[in-house]
Amino acid sequence: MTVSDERLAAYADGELNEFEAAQVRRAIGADPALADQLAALEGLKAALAAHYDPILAQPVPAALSDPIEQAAKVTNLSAAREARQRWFSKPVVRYAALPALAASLLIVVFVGRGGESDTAGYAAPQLAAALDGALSGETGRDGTKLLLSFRDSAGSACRAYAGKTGAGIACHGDKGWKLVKTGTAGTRSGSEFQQAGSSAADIMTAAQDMAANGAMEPGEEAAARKGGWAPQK
Amino acid sequence: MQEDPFLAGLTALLPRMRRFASGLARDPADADDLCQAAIERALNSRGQWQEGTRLDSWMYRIMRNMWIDEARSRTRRSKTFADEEAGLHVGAMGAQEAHVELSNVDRAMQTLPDEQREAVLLVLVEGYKYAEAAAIVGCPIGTLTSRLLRGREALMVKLGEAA
Repeated sequence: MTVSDERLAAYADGELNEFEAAQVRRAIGADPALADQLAALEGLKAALAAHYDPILAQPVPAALSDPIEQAAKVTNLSAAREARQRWFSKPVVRYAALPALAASLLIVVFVGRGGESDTAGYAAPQLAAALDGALSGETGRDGTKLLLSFRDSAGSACRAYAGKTGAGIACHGDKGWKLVKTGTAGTRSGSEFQQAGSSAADIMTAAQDMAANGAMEPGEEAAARKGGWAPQK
Repeated sequence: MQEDPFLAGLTALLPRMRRFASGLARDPADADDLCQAAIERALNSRGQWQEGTRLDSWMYRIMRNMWIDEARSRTRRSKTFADEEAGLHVGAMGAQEAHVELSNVDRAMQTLPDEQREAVLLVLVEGYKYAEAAAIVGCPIGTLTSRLLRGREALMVKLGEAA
């Protein structure tokens, strides 16, 4: 049987089925010239591999890997943005908690003892303790209800809360919890419920504007608390 | 943050892309330029890649298309500027002859037409099956195998002479 160049090459490249390959093998066994040809084909493949394969072991230049890393950051950002939009686009679910919050505010308003901030605009000790210790959805010992945690654009840990005389947002810094926003103070007269509710809603809106990457997930929040609410770059 | 499979796949492919590019292009700088341009295009058109299909074939197709386009426009340019470029090269080479010196394989590969060279690279270096290589190039299998055959014969003659 004669074996064409093309068929011999296909044999060398592993492109023949078992039956065809057996035919070629038999022909090679019977024809030393064919065996030489096959050796030449394999020699070429080896020469090419010896020449090109070392490139695989070379370090990849940063000019090639950097754009992919950049894209990974962008993807993560947009994923975070998406998550945030998902989160905030469910006001019905999220704000369903508000009547309960308002109710707790109402109680707090009546219980209310003293100011919530010291003179420099930092959270007073009782509020600070709640901000330090309670996770979102929990209520601190002073009656402050923690609404959500997030990081602002500088990476500081911030928490929206509702308690005492109103709702607010506090961000953690060197000197403790700085009150960056405080909502309308609840009053005893008239419609506390409504007032407290709108205050908390204002704070939620403010939190949405401030949060660089949406609200922290429970796991992230627990980790942030464990880390003493330290800033994150 | 969970890893993006597309970007992770691209990163994993980089060494192989560099190998393929260095076979297509004339020198290492050209090869990395080609890789860089291909990565940029891949990132911009990732929507065209369908998850679950092979990222490597997709990426190789981008690279070879860019190279063929580039080669065509270079041919047009060189018809106009050939003398000027040759003059520049003579001047630039002087001190760096060792650097510019090509291996036998490089020299032999460069004598092949682009279409034969890419067939040789895809099958013999990158290890693609004929059908896979034909899909990357976008030609019938028969066309691919005949280019491969001609390229391979020319290489064996050239390298046989050099040896």
